[in-house]
Amino acid sequence: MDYQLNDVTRHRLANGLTVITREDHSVPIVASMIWYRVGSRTERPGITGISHLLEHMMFKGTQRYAKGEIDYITTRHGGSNNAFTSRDYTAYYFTFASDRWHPALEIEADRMENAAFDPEEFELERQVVLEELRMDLDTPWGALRQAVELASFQTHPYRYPIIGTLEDVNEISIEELNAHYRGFYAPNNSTLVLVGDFRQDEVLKEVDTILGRIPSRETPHPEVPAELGQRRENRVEIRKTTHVPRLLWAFPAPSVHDREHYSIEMIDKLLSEGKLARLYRRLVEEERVMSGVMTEFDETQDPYLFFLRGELQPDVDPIRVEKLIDAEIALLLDGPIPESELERARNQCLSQFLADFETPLDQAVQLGLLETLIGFEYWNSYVERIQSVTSHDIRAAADKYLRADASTKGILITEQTSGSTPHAPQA
Amino acid sequence: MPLKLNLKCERQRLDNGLVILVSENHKVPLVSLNAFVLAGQDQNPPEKPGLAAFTARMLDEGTENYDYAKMAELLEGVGGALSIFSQRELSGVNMQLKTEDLNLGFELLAEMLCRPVFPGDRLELEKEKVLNHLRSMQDDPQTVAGNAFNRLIYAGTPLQYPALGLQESVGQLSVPDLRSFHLRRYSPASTLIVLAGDVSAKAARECIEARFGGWKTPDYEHAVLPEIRKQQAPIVETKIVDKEQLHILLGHLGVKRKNPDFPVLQVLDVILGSGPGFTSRIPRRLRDEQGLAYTTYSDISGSSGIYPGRFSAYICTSPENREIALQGLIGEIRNLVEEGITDEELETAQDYLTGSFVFDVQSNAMVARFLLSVELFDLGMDYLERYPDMIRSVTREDVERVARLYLDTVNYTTVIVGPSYPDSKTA
Repeated sequence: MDYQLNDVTRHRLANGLTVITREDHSVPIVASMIWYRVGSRTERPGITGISHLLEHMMFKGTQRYAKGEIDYITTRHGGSNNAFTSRDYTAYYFTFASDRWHPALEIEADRMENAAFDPEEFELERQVVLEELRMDLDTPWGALRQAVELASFQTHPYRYPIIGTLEDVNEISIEELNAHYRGFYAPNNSTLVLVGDFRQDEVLKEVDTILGRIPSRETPHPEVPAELGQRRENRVEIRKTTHVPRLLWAFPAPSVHDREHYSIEMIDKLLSEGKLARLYRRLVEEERVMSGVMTEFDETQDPYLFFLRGELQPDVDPIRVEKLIDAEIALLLDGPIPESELERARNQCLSQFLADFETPLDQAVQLGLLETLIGFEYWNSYVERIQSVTSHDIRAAADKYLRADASTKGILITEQTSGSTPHAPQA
Repeated sequence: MPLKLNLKCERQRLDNGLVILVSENHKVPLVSLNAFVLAGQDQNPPEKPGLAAFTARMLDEGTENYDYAKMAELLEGVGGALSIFSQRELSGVNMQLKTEDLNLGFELLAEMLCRPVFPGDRLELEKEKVLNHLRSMQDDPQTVAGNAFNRLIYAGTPLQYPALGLQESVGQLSVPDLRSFHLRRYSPASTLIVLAGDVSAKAARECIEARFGGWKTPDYEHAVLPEIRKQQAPIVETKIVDKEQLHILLGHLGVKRKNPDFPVLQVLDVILGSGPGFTSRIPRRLRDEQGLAYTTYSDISGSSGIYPGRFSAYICTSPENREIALQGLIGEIRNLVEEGITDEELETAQDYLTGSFVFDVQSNAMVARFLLSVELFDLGMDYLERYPDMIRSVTREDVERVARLYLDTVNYTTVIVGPSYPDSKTA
């Protein structure tokens, strides 16, 4: 089986823009993405959420495209578009049928240098983002996650929510937004990714004509405060009306640059992927204290978090659950992992890897993400590295990262029973 | 040049009635193996909401030849992914496998569909999980609103309940209930096996014939629900929950997928509430122009099936916006029904649909889903080829006619879920 991405190419334009391309003629579709190296990592108190707010404003008008016009063009061409902001990046995408995808390049070029920031539009969009933020805080996991992230870092900006705090989103000025845009939206701070049914040589010429003329700019390199590191276990308790107590723990995790990255990915599978995974078996099947459990782990620029979460069965003592989880983690350190378990986790990683490269947009996301963080070649060595993770590596990674004294243990419990008052239908 | 897409597929019907559809695509060494069974929520006895979904969930919990652990070991060991679903009119199994593991997939699929044993201890465990999941769903006001809406518009039918069932009914389910449901409702005549991906149609057919050829259809008629009647008077239901945001869902019974006006309704959806970005009327006015919400949309075609789906319009907003949001949603619907549409709106929607339909068959799982609807709704294998012309032939008069015919601005259901608010009158 061929796990190499031999057909992916990288070009660097004179203005510093990185262009990643991959031809895929299996479906008549082209996905185009642009990735900027800016996100909550490049924010500070007072302007948290500014990258995300800026992402919203990028659909609200530029010199060339009036408000709504980008969506209108997308619709007229039968495409789809959207954007997302994360800790380390902000990314925009279009997908179109391959005979009509070219407006994507024109739009991204204009958005890179000519955003309009109309004050009235800005105030309206601020309201939309505040609605989004309130919606998130209104969900049990949203509120708990924000609290756990905040407690997990002392200094690093990963402690702030990507969407920002209510106070900051209310206060961010249009001048601050503009400065953020001028600072980070430059060709030399971005990667264009094109995947799909096109001819690479033709496309590269076109990209150079349309995006190559944008001048490069000096971009700020905000000093990201290094994390001081936690010295003791943190505890977070959220009280909210809920029908089910929820548990969310965060452990420190390696960044994409760290060697242990792959071992933690294997641990992720060993603990929670499938019916035979260790935490699932212990907590859901044997002890029946939770109705589900999962672990989560992302690729990030700086060390971020390894999450463990699940919903507790009623009347279960959270202390008991905590002891069971601690015991399972201790078992990882205890002895060698049986080869059959390692083999299963490896296969799960590899199947996931293949599935992540199925559609043109999936591919563009994976390539753009890793190019932004470390270089897309990461994927070329991925299989080999996963296959080489040993039982010893896993023990060492668990010992280094899954430590109680560096963890944040969050729980959401109910404040009161919900006062619901259903009403008879009214004719 | 209009975009044409021709998806190849082989269809075969075994002597026992089992239908097999295979679409080959050798891009990635993966296969999506699916079984769809006409054993959905509509087949539930009136007093047993949740039975169909529970039966489906238990298919991989033990069979005549494998216990649950052995099945998981075999499948997860090779990195295969299994998911089971159960909806309004269908239940089924989806497996994502590497090509080399396809035989194992067939073996396990035959066991799950033809020879499940529903062990009592596994049923009790699964029950605890489902009951906790039902509790957890009450923390999501959008789900609460959706359940209330279904209860009102499907009143008197098995579709009025959540597919997963109710606390009371799930608590009562027994092994004989599941065995009896399986015996009557799972049969070759009501099953469709769909494969998409790196597979040879001929080899797949032989494997399936060998494993499923002896499966017999029991002597029970597939239950078809009597015609579901649309409400004849307005209904309003308000539910107070301890949340910050208000969720409004309004609409009424929708249409069947075989409705000859289906393509016209797709055009209507793009114009009214489910186009990309904020081009449709509802998101454009309520989100983009008024900043009322992060999420707002409407849809009628998307939920259509063997039975009528729902016409629904949704918004999540702050409680103080309640009246303006309600008036905004119904106002947009009324406006479309009374004032009609413009030529420009029609062309835009046609452009969108005739370009974006290629996205529906990007991945193996999507191809399988598409082939399912071809079979279920007699669309014809040339559906994708005919689709652009079908959409292009829709006229303004068609859209205005179906708006008047299918959207009711008097006798509709409104469900409001959110906090109590001083100015908001509860029903």
